[in-house]
Amino acid sequence: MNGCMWCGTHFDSTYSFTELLFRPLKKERLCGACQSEFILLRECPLCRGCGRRHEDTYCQDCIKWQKLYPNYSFSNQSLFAYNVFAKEFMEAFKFNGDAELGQVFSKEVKAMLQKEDKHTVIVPIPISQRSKEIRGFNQTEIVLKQAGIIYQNCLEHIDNPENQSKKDRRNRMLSPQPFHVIDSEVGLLKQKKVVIVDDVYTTGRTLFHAADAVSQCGPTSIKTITLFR
Amino acid sequence: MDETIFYGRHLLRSEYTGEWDEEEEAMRLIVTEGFNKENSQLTCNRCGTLCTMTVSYPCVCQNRCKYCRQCIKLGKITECSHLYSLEEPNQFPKYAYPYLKWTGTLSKQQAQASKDIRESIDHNSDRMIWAVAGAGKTEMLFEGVGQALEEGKRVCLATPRVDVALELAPRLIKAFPEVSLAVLYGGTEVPYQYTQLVISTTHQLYRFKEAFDVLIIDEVDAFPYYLNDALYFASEKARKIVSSVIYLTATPDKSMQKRIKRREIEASILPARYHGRPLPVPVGIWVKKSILKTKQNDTHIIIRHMKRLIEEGKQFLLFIPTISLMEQLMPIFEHSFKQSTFEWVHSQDPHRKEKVKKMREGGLQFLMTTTILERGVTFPNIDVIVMNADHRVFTEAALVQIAGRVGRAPDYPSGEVTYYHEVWTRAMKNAIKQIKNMNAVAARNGYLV
Repeated sequence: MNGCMWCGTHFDSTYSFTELLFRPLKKERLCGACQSEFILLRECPLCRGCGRRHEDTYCQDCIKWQKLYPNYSFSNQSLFAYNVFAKEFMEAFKFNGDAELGQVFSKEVKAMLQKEDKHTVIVPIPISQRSKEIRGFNQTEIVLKQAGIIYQNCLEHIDNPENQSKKDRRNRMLSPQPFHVIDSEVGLLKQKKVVIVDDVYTTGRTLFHAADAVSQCGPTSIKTITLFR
Repeated sequence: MDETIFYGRHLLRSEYTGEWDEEEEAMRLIVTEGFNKENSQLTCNRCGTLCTMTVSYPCVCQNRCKYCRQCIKLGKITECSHLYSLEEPNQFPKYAYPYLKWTGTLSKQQAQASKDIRESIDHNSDRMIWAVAGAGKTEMLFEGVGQALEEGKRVCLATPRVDVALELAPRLIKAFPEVSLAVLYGGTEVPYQYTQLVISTTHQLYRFKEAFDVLIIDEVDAFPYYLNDALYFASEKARKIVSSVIYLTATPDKSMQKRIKRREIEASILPARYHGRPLPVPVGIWVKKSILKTKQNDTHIIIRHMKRLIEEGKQFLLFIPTISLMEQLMPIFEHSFKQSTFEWVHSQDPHRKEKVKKMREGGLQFLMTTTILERGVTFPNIDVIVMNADHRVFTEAALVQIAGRVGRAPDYPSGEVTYYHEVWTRAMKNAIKQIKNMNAVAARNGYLV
C-alpha cells in the first residue's frame, strides 16, 4: 500500500500472478482515479501533423504550418491530452517546482523513446535563463532523466524577457526565434536522426523554432515528441 | 519591512512580498534551516515530514537539493531554504469591555462545557470536547475566547475544511465585532495581516510558530489516520510553549476515546443536542441483492423506501460510497423517479454549493451524495438512507456523523436513519452503540427534555 503522488490517497497496487513471479515490482505512482485522468493519445484518432485529437488527416493549424515551413515535413507525437487535469498537474510540476512528479511519465516516455535506434540524438527544448533562476530545473530534462533516457543539450535559449506560457496565442505566434544550436554541438547533429522533446505542444511555435534551428545543421530527419498536446 | 507579518510566523522568503534587505533582515529575524539534518535524515522544519526522497533535483541555488513534497503547496522547502520568524509579542489594541457582544443563552450542558473551557484556557492546559452533532459547539467557545482576548492572548480557531472556516467567520465577527480577525485558507485573495483572532484551515497552521496562547482545533477526527501526525506537528508548532489547546470532535477515534477513558486528557462530554431531544438511532436493514443486480428495480427495498418518503413529502439524503457506483445508479434512478426532482453531489462537483443550497431551500426531493456531505452541512428536516453501509468508506466516525445530519432543527427534532447493508460491519455496530450510549448518558444527566 502506498500514497498516490497526486492526491495522496492510499491505494493498493494490483499485480497479476505472472507479474508477481517474473517482473521486478514497480511501484505505481498514481492511484487509479488520478491515472485515468491522463488520456493516452495513441488510443485516439489523431492529426498527422501535430498529433492532436482530430478526425481529418491534417488539422487547420498544421495546414498553416505547412505553408510557413514548406521544406519541413513535420510530425509531432504527444503522449497525453492536455486537459484540465493535465494543466493543473503541469502547474504543480513546473511552477510549484515539484520535480518528483515527473516520474509519472517515466513509463510512457521510455516506451516511446526506446523505439528510436541508438544513433538518434534526443534534444530537449531548453528553458530561458530567467525560468531557470525561478524554477531551478528544466522540466523536460527532468522527465527524460527520470525515464533513463540519454539526451544531448544541443540547443541554447537566447534570453527573451517574456515567458511563452504567459502570452496569448497571437503574441506567441509572433515571437522571434529564441533558439540556436550551440557551436560545439553542430557536428553532433549532422547526418543524424533528431528527436526534439518538449513538455507541452500549445501552438507549435516553440517546436517549429527549435526544428528550424536544428535543420540548419543538416540532420537526416527531425521528429518532435511532447508529453501533452 | 513590515515586522508584524513575521510575528509568530514561520515563512519562506518568497512568501514575503515586501522589500527585502538581506543584511538588515538577517539581523532582526530568527532564521532556521528549511530542513533539519540529523543522522543523514532530513526532516522538514515547517511540516515535520521525514524526507524520503532518494534523488536530489537541480535547484535555484545552482546545486542539487532534495525538497519537501508534503507542504510544497505552501512554497517549496529545499535543503538550501531558510525559514524566518519573529517572536510573538502579543501587540494588540485594547477595546471596550466586554469583548464578547453575543447575548444568546447556553443550554445546561453547554454552560458546563463553557466553564470547563474557560478553566482550561486559564490554566493553559489541554481539553477535549466530545460533543454530538448539533450540540452547539461554537457558542460554548465564546466565553472562553472572550476572556482570553481580553487578557491580550492570541487565539486561533483551526478547522480542516475551508467551508467550515468561511462559515465560522461571520459568526465570530458578530460575537467579537471590534477584535481584529483574519481568515486564512489556501487560495485566499486577502493578504495576511497580523490579528489577535485567527480563523485558519489546519493546513495553514504550518505557517505559524509559537504564535497562539489558545488554539482551538475543530473536527480533529476528520483526518485520515495517516495525516494525524502531520496535524499534531502543526498544532504543536503553532501553539506557544505555555498555551492551551482545545480539541473539538463529534466522533473521536479509538485512540482518542482511550485517552479520554484513561484520563490522559481532560474531557468534557456533551451527549445531548441543543434542543434536548435524543439523537435518532440508526436502523440497519439487510439487503438481499444490490439494486444493480436486480431486474425489477421498482420493487427493490431501497427504491420502495425512497418512494414512500417522496410520497410523504419528506426530503432525504442518500449516501452512496463511491462516485462510480453513483454513476451506475443514475440511469436506474432516472427511470424510477421520473416525476421527482433530485441531484447528486461529490467532491469533484463544481456545482456542489448550488445543489446543496437548492436542497436546503426545498427545491429537491432528495440528494445523492458521497461522504462529502457527512459533516458540517445542516438541512432542517430530512431523513437519511445509507446505501452499502458495509462499504469501507463508512467508518464508525462517518456513520455517526451521517446519522447526525437528521433532526437538527428544534422544530423537527426527529427523523429516520437507515443503514442498508449486505453484511453487518463492526463500524456499523459501533456507530449505533456510540449513538445509543450518548443518548443514555444524556438521559442520565437530565439533559433531555
